[in-house]
Amino acid sequence: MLAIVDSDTESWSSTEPAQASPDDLLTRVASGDQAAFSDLYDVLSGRVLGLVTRLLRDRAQSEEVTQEVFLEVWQQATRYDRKRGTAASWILTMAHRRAVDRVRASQSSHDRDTKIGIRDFEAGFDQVSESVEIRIEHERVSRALAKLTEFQRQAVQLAYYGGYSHSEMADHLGVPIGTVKTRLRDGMIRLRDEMGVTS
Amino acid sequence: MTERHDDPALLTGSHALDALSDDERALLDSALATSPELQAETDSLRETALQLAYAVTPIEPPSSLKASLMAQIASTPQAAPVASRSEPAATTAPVADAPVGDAGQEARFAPATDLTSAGGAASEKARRRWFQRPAAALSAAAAVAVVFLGVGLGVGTSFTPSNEPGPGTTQASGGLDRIYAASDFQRSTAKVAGGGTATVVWSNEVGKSAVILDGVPAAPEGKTYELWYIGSEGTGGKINAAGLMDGVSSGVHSAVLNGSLSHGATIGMTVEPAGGSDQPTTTPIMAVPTTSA
Repeated sequence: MLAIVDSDTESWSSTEPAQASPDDLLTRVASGDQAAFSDLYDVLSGRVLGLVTRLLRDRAQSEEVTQEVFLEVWQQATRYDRKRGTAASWILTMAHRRAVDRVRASQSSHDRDTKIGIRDFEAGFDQVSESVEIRIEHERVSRALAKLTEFQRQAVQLAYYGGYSHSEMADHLGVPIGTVKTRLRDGMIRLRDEMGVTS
Repeated sequence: MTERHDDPALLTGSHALDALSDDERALLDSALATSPELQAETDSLRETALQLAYAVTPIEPPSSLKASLMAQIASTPQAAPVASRSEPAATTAPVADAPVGDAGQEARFAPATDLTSAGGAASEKARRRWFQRPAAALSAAAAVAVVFLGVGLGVGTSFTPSNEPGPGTTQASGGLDRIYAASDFQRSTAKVAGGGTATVVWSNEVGKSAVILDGVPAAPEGKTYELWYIGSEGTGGKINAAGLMDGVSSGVHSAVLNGSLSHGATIGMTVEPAGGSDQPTTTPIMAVPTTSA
């Protein structure tokens, strides 16, 4: 049996498939391509679970949400419009929204530390990151966030990493809702311009 | 609750951060429909939020999560595309993918040819090896596997073909749904000699089992993976061919086994010459007993 299998080694192909972008993969998923879905999952599932866990804390719940997100990706892939944005943002937006919904549904919002955003985000930097790529991303975002006013930064982080709504933030920060909206919008525009995001 | 003087143009940042209430979102959505500028700002801020997502350290999910997802999507229909916004890419993709997919699909899990076990000394030996010393058989298989699998992970570009003709159609993935839906659904994951994992799901009630391979490299040229039911010792330990898994190429592949699952049977997989064998001719690279956990 050894001889049989051994003789076949020369016919093995060594060509590596070119890495497809998430946008291409998602477009293929829209046509029912399960292998593309598998690849897309491999590329983005760590991002999704990382983000959801940041908001929910609970690992089991976060994995559940991650599964829901990817099932939705499969079902809704046909609705993805690449002219409106990248596949990564489409999927992570979906993940963020679901995580926020869970956080709000399960509140207990008082369990959430009001200073969650800032402290958590900074703590993230202290961890030894697995890859240089991730560390570079951290630094880029960190540098861009540093260009925001303190109020803007606080609001953006509370909203994104804490899942806080306008009214919750207004309560916590003791400012009118209109002020919260303005801080979030100005902060995000500043962040966009600092990071050179184009869309 | 919301103020009277709401200006939807103020809501773009909050929208990107998911800080809006449902009312506010509805307000913004209606404003977006008539303002391309506002739409552009909303889109660009959503991409900016992506940068915030990227700053979070990723966490790799357990492989079981992917295995159950892959099984789930195999039986989950996709939404019909929205008619209005046509994507240029969407028109090319199905055309390019479909023929390959169809061809691969046929070959991927060919029904096993009618098998009546031929008995004989060799198969008798193989059978005993299987249920008596699966561990030993596996480590021997691992050594073999290194010889022929060591060369080529990342082989070729062949991909798992779609199980379905197009979006919006329910897939005929046969027994997999029924297994998953069964009240006595069970699952067990094992390492496959040569790389990757095999998750076996089964239900005695339904009398069916399925194998989901994840990251198992393609079989060598001229060879295929063949699945087997090995009856429990109590039932005489009969080995029945349960179908071929052709076209495996390191992604995730699933197949429902042909024939029915007898109580306490072990599910195994071997490398066989293309077309399959009546009885296993090599040591198994994977064997999972379906004894209740």
